[in-house]
Amino acid sequence: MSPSDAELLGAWAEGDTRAGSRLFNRYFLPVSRFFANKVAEDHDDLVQETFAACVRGRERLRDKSSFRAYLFAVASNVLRMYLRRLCSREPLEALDELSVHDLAPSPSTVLRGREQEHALLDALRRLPLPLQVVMELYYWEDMRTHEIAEAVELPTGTVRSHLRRGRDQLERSLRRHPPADDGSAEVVDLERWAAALRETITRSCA
Amino acid sequence: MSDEPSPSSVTIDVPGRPDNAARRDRMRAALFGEEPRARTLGRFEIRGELGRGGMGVVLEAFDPELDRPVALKLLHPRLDDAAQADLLREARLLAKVAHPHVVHVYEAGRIDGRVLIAMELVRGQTLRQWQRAAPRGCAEILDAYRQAGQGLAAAHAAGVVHRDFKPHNCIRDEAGHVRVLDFGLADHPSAGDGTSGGTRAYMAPEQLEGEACDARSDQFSFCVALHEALHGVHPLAQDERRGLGEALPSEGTGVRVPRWIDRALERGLAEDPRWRWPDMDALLHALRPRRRARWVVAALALGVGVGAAGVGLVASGDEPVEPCGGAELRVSESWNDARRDAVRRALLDTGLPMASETWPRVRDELDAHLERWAQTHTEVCRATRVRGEQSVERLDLRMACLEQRLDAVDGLLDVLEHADAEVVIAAIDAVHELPRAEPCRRLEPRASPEPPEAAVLRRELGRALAERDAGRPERALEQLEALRERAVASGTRWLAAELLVRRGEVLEELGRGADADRPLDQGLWAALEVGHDEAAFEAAVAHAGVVGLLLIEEERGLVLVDHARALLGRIGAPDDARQELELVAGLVLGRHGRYEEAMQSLDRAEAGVEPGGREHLDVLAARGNVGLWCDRLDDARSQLERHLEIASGVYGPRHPEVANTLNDLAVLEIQQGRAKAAEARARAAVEILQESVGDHPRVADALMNLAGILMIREEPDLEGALRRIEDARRIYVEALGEGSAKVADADLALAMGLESLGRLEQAEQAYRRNLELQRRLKGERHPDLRHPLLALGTLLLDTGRPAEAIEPIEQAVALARELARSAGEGADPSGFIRDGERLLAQARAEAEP
Repeated sequence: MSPSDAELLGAWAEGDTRAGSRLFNRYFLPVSRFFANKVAEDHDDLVQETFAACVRGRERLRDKSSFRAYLFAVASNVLRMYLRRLCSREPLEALDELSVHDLAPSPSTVLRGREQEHALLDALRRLPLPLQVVMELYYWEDMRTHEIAEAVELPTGTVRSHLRRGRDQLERSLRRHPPADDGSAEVVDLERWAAALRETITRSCA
Repeated sequence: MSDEPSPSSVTIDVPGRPDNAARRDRMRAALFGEEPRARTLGRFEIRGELGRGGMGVVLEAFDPELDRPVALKLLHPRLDDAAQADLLREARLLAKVAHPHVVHVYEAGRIDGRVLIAMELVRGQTLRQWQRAAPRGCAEILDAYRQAGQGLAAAHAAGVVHRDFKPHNCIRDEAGHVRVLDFGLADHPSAGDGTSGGTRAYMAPEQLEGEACDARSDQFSFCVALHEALHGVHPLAQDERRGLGEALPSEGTGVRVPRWIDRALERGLAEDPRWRWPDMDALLHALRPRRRARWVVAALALGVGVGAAGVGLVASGDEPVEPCGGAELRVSESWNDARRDAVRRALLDTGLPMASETWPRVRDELDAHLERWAQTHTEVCRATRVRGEQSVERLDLRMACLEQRLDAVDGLLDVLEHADAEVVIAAIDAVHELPRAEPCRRLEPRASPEPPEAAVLRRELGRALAERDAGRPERALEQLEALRERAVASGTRWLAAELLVRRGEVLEELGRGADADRPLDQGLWAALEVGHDEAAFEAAVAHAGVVGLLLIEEERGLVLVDHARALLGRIGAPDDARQELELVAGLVLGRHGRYEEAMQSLDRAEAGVEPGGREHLDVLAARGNVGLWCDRLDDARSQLERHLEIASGVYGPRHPEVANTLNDLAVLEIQQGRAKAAEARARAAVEILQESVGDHPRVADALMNLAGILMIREEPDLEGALRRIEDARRIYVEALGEGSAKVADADLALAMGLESLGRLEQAEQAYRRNLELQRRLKGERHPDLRHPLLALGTLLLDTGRPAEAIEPIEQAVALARELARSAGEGADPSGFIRDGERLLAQARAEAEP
């Protein structure tokens, strides 16, 4: 029977780098996806920092119901610290209102996608940061709202309302700039688009 | 069109993005202290992936052996063997193309059974991305595509066709430098995964139909891409074969595209490859940036202000604009202080002693030539723009002619700026031979205009002739032949005829009479057939010279002179042509002993020539030669001494032209029995010529003269003489062929040397051999036969066979008398007839029983 995520993390913390490497292999993709559409540069450094921070803060794993929730909580913090360094003029609370597009308007250098997917990626980047995180975790990582709530350290009800607002805003902006090969601009099939995007993002990160 | 990425177009835009696997390895190394796994392919270390496509994958890699980054194209294993072999062959051809606008293929081969091509790693945007990133101006687009076009042309020259040219396959780096990549890697039919959809948009019709494609197919694709870049729309969007449908975005680029660009593109987009431009060079020439409008140049020139503001060229205010005032400015674009300095330095840097004498003469001659050009330019312009007496059509035609003349100057200046010894020697003549501007004033439109590529070919012809005029005839010959093939291929028969004639002329200058015979003959008839009278005239004149002077055939030479005379009338008998003809006629007549007629021709040639000028030299040299050939030695001497004086001034005292005169004077001194003076002149001539022209028949002529003098001086140096004759003979054989008259002359001299050394039997055989050859070459009654006849007779007499000696001596005296009769009363200054008669009397006396 294969060791659990928590066991691997513990072994790694004890100095077993093979265990760390296995954990890294399990979660490299989700972490990479997490940063892919949020930062223009330094993607790899942030992925690396997230794993390193997981070991450092492993005590807090106990507070979470799953390793995934813990991992994305760490990743969210790494991202917030990074964005704060990047935009030191903005007050800390602003990170809840601003989008990554406001903070760093150039798209990621990691992503390569078809042109018609750029629209959706761009729309995601234009959401306020907490909404974008919630949307991506929901659609790309298949996480349930309570798990997301643990990751972003918000009440479950807030996550649900974030999801609703995020969907509304995405649909609005997609109606304004419909993806090229979608004939029906009226009904935007967000589920379908999100699935396609996840594939693209994964291909880019894998 | 589809955005389907081709193997390398997706990726190169992202600077330095490494492959994900490698990134993960690096992160692991940082987190867990693991060494990053080194991934290698053969000797190449893989750094990442740049892209994928139907044909395979492109990797970023490092070549540790040559210490450089490379892009590795690894072809898909499912390509069939034939396709792989094709691609390998093309990649290897391309590896030989080192061109700034072609992504360099370093090597190609197989690793683990897969075809691998290692090439230059270029970072930048594809032209497609560059075009989309921001609105681009017409000039920048044209510049980028001209670079790509040059890359295509270079590959075509190496025998590689791209087959899939499109903006996705051109990389533009940050410095704006454009390179073409993926030659011959077009989605091969056997790739068979349908990724060729995006490519069909740019394909030539013959490719769409699955027919064979060649360089002209690339030209088509190039024109599609450039048209699309400039206008924002595909030129053949409605072509159903391309599957572009209605979805094509058709918003224009807002770029104002000049008509001449569209005209050039239209031709490249012709459905039938034969109607396109003959090659990329021709298309690129048609697409070259045009000169700025004249008044802009004028304003700029005045902007630097040398108190010229009042000249009235500025297109401003109420001042009337002189519409024809641009000639000097146009000249100064080609011939200015910078260019002057470059030419001066290039000439002096050769270190030839004569260079410092050559430079001021070249400069003055160019100044004068361009001043005449500017006058003609102004005159032609005013005839339409000011006086209104000349149609605009004629103005265009004549201005185009003038531009060609200036192109010729540009071409010559290019050659002069890279002068070597040969160029310095020929420089003065080259400037003098520049095509004159004046005839452009008389130019009339032709009934059937030449196809557009004729202009391109003509420009290149100018360059080839500049090589010839600058003393690099071998190079000129190569270029002329290549041009002729293109002219024939494109049906430019008018020009093809002219090129034959030019080829003959260059061969004549090389002294290769036998080789020149045929192209000149063909050139004459080809020119007559298409009604190109100027070329026909040139052919006849050159051919008369070749036949009459190099091959020494009297009758045929004179027939050709008659042809040329008939043609002179057809071209309006301009002075320079008339003079050229009379000069050749005089020489041919004189060479065959017809002194009086020769002198009449030369008198006509001299009429209207400025005394002491460059043309005067030709006439004087001809008179001197004719005097020598016809035994009018005192006349010849005075002509040649005058020639030496003028030539030293025109060319400088250490110039091959001066050597030629010295050479002729030496011949004269020998014939008049002044051996010492002759030897000094001959040695000086040999020295100057060897310094300058190498193994040219002219050096051999000088060696022959020197050898003759060494034999007859007071203390003969027979060994030295024979050595020089053998050198000369070798040069003649190489240049003219074994059976040529010059070789016969060398054999005669060899025989005389052998006789002087007392090797009489060998000498007798050599005389008889020479007589036989000369009879065959020149006929029984040629005056040249008198020398071997008399020599043979003398030898027979000296070896105690007086009876056998009588006949050859009789014949020699008879030929000398005929020559004397045609040259005028009592002409026997060298005493040939007197000596002959004395020997004849002796032979008869000794032969008495």
